[in-house]
Amino acid sequence: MKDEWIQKQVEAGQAPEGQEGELYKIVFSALKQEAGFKLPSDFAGRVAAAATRPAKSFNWDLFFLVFGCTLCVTTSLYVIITSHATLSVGVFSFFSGYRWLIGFALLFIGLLNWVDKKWISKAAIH
Amino acid sequence: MIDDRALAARVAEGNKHAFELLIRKYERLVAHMVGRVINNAEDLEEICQDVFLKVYEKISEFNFQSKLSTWIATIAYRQAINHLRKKKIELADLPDDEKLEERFIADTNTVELIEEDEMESVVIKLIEKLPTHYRVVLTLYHLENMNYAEIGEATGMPEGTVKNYLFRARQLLKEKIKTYLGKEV
Repeated sequence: MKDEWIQKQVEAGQAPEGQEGELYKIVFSALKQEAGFKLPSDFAGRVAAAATRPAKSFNWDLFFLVFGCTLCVTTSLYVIITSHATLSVGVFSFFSGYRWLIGFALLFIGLLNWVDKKWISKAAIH
Repeated sequence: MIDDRALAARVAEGNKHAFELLIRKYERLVAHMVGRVINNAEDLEEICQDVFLKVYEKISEFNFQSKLSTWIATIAYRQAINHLRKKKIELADLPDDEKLEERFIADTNTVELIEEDEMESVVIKLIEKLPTHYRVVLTLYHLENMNYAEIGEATGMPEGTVKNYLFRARQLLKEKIKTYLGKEV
């Protein structure tokens, strides 16, 4: 109750006597100080420009991506057909002798990722 | 000085100059609000930018049932809280924690950290150690001169809670510097 009264007095510009009043005056004065963080001077200009920028009428990035992929697939098919190539596992047949080791490695990496996500990352945040 | 209604109408029409004016007018408010919730300086500017982009997107729906500043503060508060949620940073320091006051006053780390500073700087550093909700309420009341109702609207807290948090936060700061001065003597 006493604190509430002192806070009201200090806020109203009165100067209550005693140590509590003095301490509250320091607190109220500090609360009027600007926070340390300030936005850069060009912030308003940059954000306004980004927000009002007209939307692209044609997405050239997407066009080149689709065009490139189509060209790549078409060329690959043409080469496969004209060269009478046959599909084979080739160098990957080497792995068949180590299937348990590879299986274990994949499982182990997966487990490590799970442990990291579940326990370690959370601990790092706190 | 252009009034908020005219400014908002021009922004809603897509006027870049008007939007830049609006940002300049309210960037301090947004920086204060976001800065009090987010401690990571690297994310602050990005979140402030997101706040204004949201303002631009939604301003045509704003019907002036509250002040423009209160509406922008609401967006800033929600954006900052959503950022904490996205980063999975919990608001673990909720002021409802009964032991909070004991812990805050007994925390000697803060005192060691600030012992060289002037008393006002000490209080400013202590504010940073307060729970997020206390910091937000203190900032909106003392720096942005919002009243209890406006703070309640911006943060979604009942007016009584805003009043209570303000009182408790100031009392905590006072008790902390009292303890600090007691150790100094």
